Amino acid sequence: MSQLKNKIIVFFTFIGGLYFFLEYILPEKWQLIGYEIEFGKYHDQITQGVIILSLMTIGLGIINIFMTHGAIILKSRPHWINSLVLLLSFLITAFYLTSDFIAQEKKNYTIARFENLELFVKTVVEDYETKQSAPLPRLQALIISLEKERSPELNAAINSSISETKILMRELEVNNAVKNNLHSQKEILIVALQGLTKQVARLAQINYEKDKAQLVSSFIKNSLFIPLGSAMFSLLAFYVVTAAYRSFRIKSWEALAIMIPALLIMLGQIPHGPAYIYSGLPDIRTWLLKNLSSPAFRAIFFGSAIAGLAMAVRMWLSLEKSPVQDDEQDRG
Amino acid sequence: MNYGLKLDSRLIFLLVFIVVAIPLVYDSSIKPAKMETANVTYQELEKLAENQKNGKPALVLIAADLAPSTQSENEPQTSVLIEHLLRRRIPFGLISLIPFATPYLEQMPQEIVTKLAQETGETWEYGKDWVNFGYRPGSTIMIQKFAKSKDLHEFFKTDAQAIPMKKLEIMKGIKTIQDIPALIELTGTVGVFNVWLQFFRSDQHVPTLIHGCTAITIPEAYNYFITNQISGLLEGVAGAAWYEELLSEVYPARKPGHALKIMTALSIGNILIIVLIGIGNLQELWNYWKNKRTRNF
Amino acid sequence: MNYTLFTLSWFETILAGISVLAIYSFLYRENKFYRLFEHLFIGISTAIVTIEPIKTFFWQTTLKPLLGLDRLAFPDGTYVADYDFNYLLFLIPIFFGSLYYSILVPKYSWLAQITIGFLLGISGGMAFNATMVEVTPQIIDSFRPLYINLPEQSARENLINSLNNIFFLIVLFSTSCYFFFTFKRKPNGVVEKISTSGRWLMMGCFGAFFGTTIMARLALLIERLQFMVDHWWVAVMALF
Repeated sequence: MSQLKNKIIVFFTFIGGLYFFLEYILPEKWQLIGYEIEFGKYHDQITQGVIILSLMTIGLGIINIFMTHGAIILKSRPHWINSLVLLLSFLITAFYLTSDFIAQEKKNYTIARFENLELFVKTVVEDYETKQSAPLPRLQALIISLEKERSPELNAAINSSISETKILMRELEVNNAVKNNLHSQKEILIVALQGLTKQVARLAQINYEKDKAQLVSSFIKNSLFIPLGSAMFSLLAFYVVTAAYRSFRIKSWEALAIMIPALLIMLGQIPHGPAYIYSGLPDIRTWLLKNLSSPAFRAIFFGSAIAGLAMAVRMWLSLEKSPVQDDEQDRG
Repeated sequence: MNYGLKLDSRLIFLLVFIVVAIPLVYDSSIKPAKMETANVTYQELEKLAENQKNGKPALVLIAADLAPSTQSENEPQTSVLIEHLLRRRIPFGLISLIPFATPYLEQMPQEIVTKLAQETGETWEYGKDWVNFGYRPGSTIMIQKFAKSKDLHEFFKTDAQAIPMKKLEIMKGIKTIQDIPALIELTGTVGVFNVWLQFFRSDQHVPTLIHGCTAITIPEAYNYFITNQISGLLEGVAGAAWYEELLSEVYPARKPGHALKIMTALSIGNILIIVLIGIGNLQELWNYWKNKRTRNF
Repeated sequence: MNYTLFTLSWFETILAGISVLAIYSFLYRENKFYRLFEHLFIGISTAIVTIEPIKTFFWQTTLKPLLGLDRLAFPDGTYVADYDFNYLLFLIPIFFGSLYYSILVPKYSWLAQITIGFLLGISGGMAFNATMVEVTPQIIDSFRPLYINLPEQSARENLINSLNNIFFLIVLFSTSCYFFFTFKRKPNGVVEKISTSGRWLMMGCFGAFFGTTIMARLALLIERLQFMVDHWWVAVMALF
């Protein structure tokens, strides 16, 4: 059984890599026994699937964080207050980010709903001309839906749209309606609806900007997330200075070989103001980066790239012991 | 045996703090060091502006893969490049592989537009001059999907504010990667630049790549610069400062940005480090000499 | 920059400054204040990492079309377009991805390895493309002419470029030699000597890395100090 499990895992690992390997080496279109084959035809769909697959781990992360920190809080372990802060900050931020997103979606949905009316009028007239459906009940439905949207700010635009709809209905009621009149009235109604949509969009934007979720989520980002993140990493500056003072000492010729380019590069990238040491320093710095550090780095890079590729192939072909493989399967 | 002065870590921390803060308090800024790579980048953007005159719709993509940990360098870089694009009326779209970049993607262009509007009296509009695609998950796979997409409207569906692509004027005529003449990639996060370099290309078209790196990755970035795998390079905050200088030369009414101020403090900070290394080595020499003398006795 | 007391932007700046001070308190010694804000940061970051992909990708490009919510209804109840049943295919990666969660049930945890293995396989398959695109131009660039005699350049320029190329190739070759472990090297042999010089030249490269690292780290600190001086201090002074 254990061997079968292993084989299933190896099979899926191989299949996963096979598509992307072939997609790289095969031409986009090629002929096989008279048939044209387009290998990447469903590339969009496949890659979409892979992204969905990788995103499915999100829930696992949340479960893990709650299990770890929830246990600390429940068992009142030392520093449980920190875990509580972590979980609360997670929940509050997630709540406001989600609320902000919902508000955004609501705003866009409202606008899209009104924009859709324009398409609706066009469809109704088209369907009438191709005798697919009766237009009057459909336009009546439009009037009813417009009536539902009444508010002091929109009243004028809604009135105008309703009256233009009624005129269009009258045009349609007349037997043998003159095609030109029908179309010009349709255009007038569309313009009225566009005016209404503009008003709706303006109001939706104002409402969205007033939304508390948007304000709170940007407050969290600007007052906590950004300053905490950058301050945390800037601590390194203090340590790099102490490290430079304590450890950067010329105890051997090799240390001197590090020191000289380091100093030249440091001096070449900073402005010196009136106390300029030597105006050629930026050029010396560029020369060192282009002709000393680049080839040395390249040599290291070639080695790591080849090793990385070899490792990737071993992983793809399941020749490498997987970090997620347990001992039981090893024995199996 | 150890002789001589031994500086406590906390004393060094305090020294760094004071020395670096002085130029910031006095608001002093001096001309930054010349950066050849920033000159090349400036010319590349000018070339884009010239090519844009042929009228074909085109969108420059800015992959602002920054985070709070890299904002001190990537933010000034992104700001100067956005400013240049806005001044030359080159439409651009912002995207990121890093979720932490979202606040920057929203705020940065807006702040620059406000600053430029005050200076020039001109206006720039969201959806017409720039668009924010926001954070896009999937890293390598996402970039490959993007590069091979036959319809970018379908690929993006909406911008970061959930506005559908068809409503954005800037996206009219933008269908595939071929409509993206250049990619500006700004990051300090390991592996992010490489995946753009490796996968943002199609068989028919490879966009010009401009890279803004943090100072740590400068030696690595030069390796790509000398092979022309990247056509432009901004080297940390120093690159951004020199780019600002170039912009100020062409647009004299422009107010200096904060890259210049950072450079002055950076300069003094670097000199402090050199002095501390010097002190450390003198101590080492003193210890060596003293030990030698003690042994002789 | 001026701040009006007790407005949202004032509170934002004051709290941001307190956050920075909390983190810097670590420089004195490890303390509860620092730990608290550190956990606050982790909580907020986790929420951003969790919600952003759902917001920009999962909802817009997967769930919304799958649930048919991207189709708008007309006032008469009809729809703009018919439901595209191809979207049901999204259920495959959703189901396959849900195998990750079997890791929580020890008996079935091996099922998660199928999905993990599948993704590892993908990264393995993509490595060919990645390595070739990245490395090939660098291999090509490494074949540099040792003698340059371009008519459009002056004799001095040609000489400098030739010398640069020679130096470049010496560094590249000797550093590469340092990493040759395929055959046994004789002590004091040619390869050993070249590899020793490679080690020396690599030291130069590491020196370059050190020089640029200093700039990166200081830039981070200066940016925060600039915020404290230009914004936070001004906001605090508004109190008096």
